Amino acid sequence: MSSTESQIAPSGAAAEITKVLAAEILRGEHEAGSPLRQASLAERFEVSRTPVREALHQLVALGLGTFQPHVGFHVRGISREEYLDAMVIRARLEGLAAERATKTVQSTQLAELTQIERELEQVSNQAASSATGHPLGARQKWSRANERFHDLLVRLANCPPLEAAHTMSVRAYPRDVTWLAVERYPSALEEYCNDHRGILDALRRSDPEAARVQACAHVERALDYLRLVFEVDGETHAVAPFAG
Amino acid sequence: MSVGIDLRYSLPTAAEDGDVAEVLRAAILNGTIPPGTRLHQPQIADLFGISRTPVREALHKLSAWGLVDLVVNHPATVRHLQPDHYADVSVVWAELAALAVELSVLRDADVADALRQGVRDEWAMVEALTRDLQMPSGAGETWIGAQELFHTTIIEASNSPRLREMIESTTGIVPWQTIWKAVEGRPYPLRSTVLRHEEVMVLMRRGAAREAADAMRSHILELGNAVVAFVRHARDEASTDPPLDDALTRDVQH
Repeated sequence: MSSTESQIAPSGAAAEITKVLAAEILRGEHEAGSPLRQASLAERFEVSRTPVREALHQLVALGLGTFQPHVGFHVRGISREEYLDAMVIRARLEGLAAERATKTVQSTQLAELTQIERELEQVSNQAASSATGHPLGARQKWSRANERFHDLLVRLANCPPLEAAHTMSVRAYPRDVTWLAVERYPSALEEYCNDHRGILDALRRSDPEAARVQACAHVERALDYLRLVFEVDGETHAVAPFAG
Repeated sequence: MSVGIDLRYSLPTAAEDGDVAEVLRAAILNGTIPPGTRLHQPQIADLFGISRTPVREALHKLSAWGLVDLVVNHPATVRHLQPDHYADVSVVWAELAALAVELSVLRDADVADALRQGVRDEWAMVEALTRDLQMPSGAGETWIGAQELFHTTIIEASNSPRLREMIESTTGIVPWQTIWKAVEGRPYPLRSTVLRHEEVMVLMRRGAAREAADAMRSHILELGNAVVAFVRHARDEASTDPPLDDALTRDVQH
């Protein structure tokens, strides 16, 4: 570390650890204020302390942890409001991205987005035909493809500050937390697929207004489902109603 | 090109002040650290007399502000900002600022009243300018203060730390000082700015969240246009001088 430049962008392992820890913190598996010890995390993830340290710094950057010299890293509690706020912001940013994308999207990119949409539909169809609920691995398959769909949509807008802001809003939480809603309301998957098709359709027609409305409404639908889940769980604090 | 010895004299030592990111940001925006400069972590740490950890955090912040590029195992590189980049920034800022207006109408009934005095002061200033046909002394500070007050009041009232953080990070490359330079001495944009503020305020008082948000969006896009024109003009003027930027780029690439 002393003579060479140390890593700035998180390495693969660090990024993965960040993701896992962020998900755990948001699911409430770590108490606010509890310590995040480098040694035990290194042991748990079977890596050296370097990626762990990097991941912990990332958590601090995400607002999920705190760091003080000589004191170390601790979990910072994130409220449901903060979490929902991040999604409210995300809805607007994706609306803006979709609107701009109608002017910049290329046919190869549209084909890629269509391909991802088919993958998502497949997961949804399999889930619908399974009598025992969602088949194993569905969550992961859906989450990955869904992330790709949304990230690509934002990239299509060809606007670096928008991408940066979107990353900031989605990094605030692991997106597969939205799966909580899918587990309770299985029909949500089908609705999400419909939304995705609507966005694609607006892009194909180069209709900026429709693209904006559809993309925004899609994230807001997920947001509404999550509010419902949080309310049913009885863990919600008053969240201001939002004129969507 | 790397941070050379001259920076030791041109940068204040910020170790005690703590915020390395702020010092570097100011230095990049005022050109003390030119585009293409490589920021080596050990050198910055030495320069400020601090350890690597806060330096790494500062570089992450600069990257989030869009001021440097970060590549694994390479020093951070100060970006060349094109006028288009400012246009892109203003589009995102407009969207986030519009959302802040909507949320603040819903979450803080008194927000519009809190804006009133600032808008009044701004009017007095614009009227003095129209009357005297020259900028009163200290106009820049007054104007910047009025903008900060107006926008931070709304952002605070939106009661969303995440949104505030994102607006701060998105607008990192366009401090109010830069916007002031773009509108300074020009009665039209100064007047349209205060008109927009008034419009946003009135609509917020009526509880017309959507309309107020639209007015805010237009307002920021107008400011953005002024900045883009200003940056483009500054670049065109600079290009008649020896191309300093190109020399630096070559140095970095080879």
